[in-house]
Amino acid sequence: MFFKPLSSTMAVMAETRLHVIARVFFSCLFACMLLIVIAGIAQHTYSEVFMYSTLALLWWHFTFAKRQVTFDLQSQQITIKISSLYLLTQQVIPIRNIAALQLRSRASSGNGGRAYELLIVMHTQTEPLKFEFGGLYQMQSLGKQIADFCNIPFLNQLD
Amino acid sequence: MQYSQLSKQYKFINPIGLPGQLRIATKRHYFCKVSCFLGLIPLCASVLMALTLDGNQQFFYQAVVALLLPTVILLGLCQHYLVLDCATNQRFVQLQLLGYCCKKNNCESLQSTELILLHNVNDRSQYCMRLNGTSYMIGTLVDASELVLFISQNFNITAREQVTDFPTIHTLDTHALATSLAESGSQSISTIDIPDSNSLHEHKANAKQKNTIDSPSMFIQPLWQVRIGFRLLYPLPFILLFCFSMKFIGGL
Repeated sequence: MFFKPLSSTMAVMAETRLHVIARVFFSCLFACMLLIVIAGIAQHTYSEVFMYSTLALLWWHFTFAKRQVTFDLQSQQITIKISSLYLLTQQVIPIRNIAALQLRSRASSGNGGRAYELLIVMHTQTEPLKFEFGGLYQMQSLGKQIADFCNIPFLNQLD
Repeated sequence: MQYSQLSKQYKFINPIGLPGQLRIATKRHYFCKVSCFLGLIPLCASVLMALTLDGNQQFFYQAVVALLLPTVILLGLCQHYLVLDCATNQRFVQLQLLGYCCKKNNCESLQSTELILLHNVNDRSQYCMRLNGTSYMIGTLVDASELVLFISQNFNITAREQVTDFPTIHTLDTHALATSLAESGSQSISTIDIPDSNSLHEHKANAKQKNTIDSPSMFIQPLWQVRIGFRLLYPLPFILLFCFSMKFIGGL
């Protein structure tokens, strides 16, 4: 996902075109396979039908699940919504309570530290909020853009 | 201040060489120890196989043991330290093996060493020390301040802190800190905590000025929790109903 300013006070995190095309392609492919199975569903046992239903659930989330991140400077809020036609989870972060945006290498990435994550450090709580993860240059660039847009400090102290 | 006077002894500090030299374990030191520990697993398995099997298979596992054993022993004995040396006024990294010191690498003057007292990233109520680009988890603010003060005073390194006015880094007033630490334990805790609480008050004051008071007790939950896993299953009953009705209709 990349940072996309919509106006001087509003920005979102948008999916890349390649990401969208790949998702639509595999979603259609998966849907066709499911339709072929459902066409002959009368011959299958109940346990097989249950298994196909679980696969259909996976297809549902693969097709509809999305993460919406909105930066609204007017309301001074960063809203992160995860939905899959219905709301799964939501996080509303007041920008005024953000102490800094911090980049660090992920603990799970091992000694090389090739994966990095952006954390939102709050004035009001001890645990930081995980925002995004990815490669070093991608995270550095994203961190700078968000920090500039929201006017918050960006910490780039890597071990 | 002496190392023995600190309230805690730290595993990442090798007391051999003090007070003239301070040896602090680097990332590579821990990498060697972890590799040694992980190497023990295939070594034990190979030893077991070499004892129980026979013929060519036994020979193969004997060869594996012969390769793994020296590697694991070497990794276990390797010690890689960042050394702060008062006598030569230098900072360097050095590999040690059975007391034999290898060549000094990355020699720099002690004064150019980065020494920062800062919050732990995962839990801001805990503190850590950043020395020459590596963070060392310490614990409470008093323990972290003591260690930073010890290194700063003994090796003449300028200490800085990122605690009072996060995320800005300021130079740490070591004299004031030493005075406060010299007082009784409970008093020192309250004295050292003052800057931290001040920063919180400043933040509150700034928030009030902007007419946007956000309660410090307002806790934002992490995005992913266990209960969200159950929400993923919400469409399943409807899909099951659809599939079973399709099966029923198809069977008519």
